Amino acid sequence: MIIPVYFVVALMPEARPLIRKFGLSIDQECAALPIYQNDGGVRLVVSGIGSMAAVAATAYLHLRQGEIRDAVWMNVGIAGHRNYPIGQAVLAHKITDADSGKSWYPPIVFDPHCPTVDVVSVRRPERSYPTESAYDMEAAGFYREAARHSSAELIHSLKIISDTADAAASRKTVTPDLADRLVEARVGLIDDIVERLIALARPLLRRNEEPSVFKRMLRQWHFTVSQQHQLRRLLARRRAIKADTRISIDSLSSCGDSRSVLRELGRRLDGMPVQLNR
Amino acid sequence: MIRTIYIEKEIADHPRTARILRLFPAAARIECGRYGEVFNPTAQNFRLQKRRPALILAKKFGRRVLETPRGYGIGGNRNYYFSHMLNCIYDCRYCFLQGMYRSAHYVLFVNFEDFRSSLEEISGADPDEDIYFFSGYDCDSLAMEPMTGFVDFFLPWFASHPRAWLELRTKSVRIQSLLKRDPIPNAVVAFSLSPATVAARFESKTPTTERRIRAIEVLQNHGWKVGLRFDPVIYHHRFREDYRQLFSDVFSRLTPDLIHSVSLGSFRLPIDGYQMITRLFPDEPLFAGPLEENRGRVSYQTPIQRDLMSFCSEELRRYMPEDRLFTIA
Repeated sequence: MIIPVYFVVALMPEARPLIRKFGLSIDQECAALPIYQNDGGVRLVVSGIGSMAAVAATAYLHLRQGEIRDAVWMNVGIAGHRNYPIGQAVLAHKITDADSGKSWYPPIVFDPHCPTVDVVSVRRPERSYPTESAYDMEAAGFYREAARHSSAELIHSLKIISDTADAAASRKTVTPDLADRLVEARVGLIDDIVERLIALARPLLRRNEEPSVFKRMLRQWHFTVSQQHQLRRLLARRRAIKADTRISIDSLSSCGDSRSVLRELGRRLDGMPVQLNR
Repeated sequence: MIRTIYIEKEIADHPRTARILRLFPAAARIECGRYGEVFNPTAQNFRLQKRRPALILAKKFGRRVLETPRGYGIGGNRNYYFSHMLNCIYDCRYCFLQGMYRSAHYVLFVNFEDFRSSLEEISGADPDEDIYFFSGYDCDSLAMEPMTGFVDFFLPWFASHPRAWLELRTKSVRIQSLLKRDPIPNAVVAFSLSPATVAARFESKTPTTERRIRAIEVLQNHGWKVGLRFDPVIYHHRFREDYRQLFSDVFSRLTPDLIHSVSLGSFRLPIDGYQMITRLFPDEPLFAGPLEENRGRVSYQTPIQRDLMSFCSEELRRYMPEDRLFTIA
């Protein structure tokens, strides 16, 4: 099963190391924003700067990919921090939109192998670093939108420190080349986090899978929408009780219509004792 | 092991907060406004969070002590429950909390003093009547005692209010806080028990049934009133043998006269909770068994339910008098 992994990145210099790492190539059919992809389910959109741009890019990627639920979402980019050294990777455990004051709390249910921090998304680059938070411009917009499409445990924002209080004071600027090198140095960590998130996402996506017999049954009998829901539930029950055997449509051949199919399936399931040794 | 602690800004300086934070010096500390910002968002997955739950330290507002649902009780006419915590360190597959909350984080309400005021208010209105207060509805009463200090805080109040009864509902064997003090006559330490086979299959991370029985023995010997809660009773192909064996084991080792009460309830979930849980665990046979919707909840089909409950009731009556046996409707 291919688990979709979606990256939202503000600028090309931050995106390039990921494009190289995951062997992504541009999707020529996407005109509004550049989307890069590979055959393994990885997609990357370059959003542009700012929270609103991140919202739009996240929504665009979701729609372009067929509105798949429970994909892995990662925002990767550079950020500033008062104390952490340049090049330090940090994972957001709280994301605050500086304009609205609203906060989100990505649940980190794996070992991230890097410090976790508050990230404050600001409208203009922060230079004074008034708190112990990392400061960026996209995480809040990204998270707000991605949380509409996936489970919070699968959505994360990883920042690489490119600016500090000292660097800001000496007016050093972040060049595209530096951004590229900073992200490049952390692609191993990013890949590691992605692998952990894929492992988390797998059971969630598997539950959305339609059993193959479902479609075959729809071809054989006419089920109303409501009956299709009932059939799904019965097939799921059957899979839970008798995971080791497949249902034979032939064994239901005496059923003249969908209603009798549902009744017969239910009757058989009710007769199956619940075993504790599974 | 707690690796992340969310702290409501309002209780950041509460002494209980400070004490708990000292227990987890390496945990990441994250300030939040109200605990609901972390706990309530819909796009969360209980099953994933159960891998590494965080602790949320919060203040409980509003009604802190609530009336129990009808049919819930151990002999009293006035029954209330209160929850100083939401969620539990154990991972029982049948637990309704999985269907009630989106988040598996542990919420600990640190304003115990406000809970005590609420208890005082309710018991003060009818000082001559027995009132039962149940703890352990939304959490396990004892499992996190070394961290919460719940028993140490509340038992002295109950000791000085003899008409106010406390039930501590638990699967935990962390009974040290009870053993280090004199028992009080209006407290019942009530253990949830299942056959070893059921516990092994459905009660992940809990002490074994054998360890729980041993803890009950110790408490009884120390003079504490104990309760036995066979709830939920789980239907399975060997339920007669398994429950008969459990009852036999338990009552051969405990002193029946010193058992305050025994209650029995079959597996049941609110319909919404059932639907949520089956989405979390689509391959779990427990939720795929012979169930039906009835009066807003999902439970075993009526003939099975009747068979299960009448069998267990009859077996229990061999050991316990009727007046101390309660069936959860």
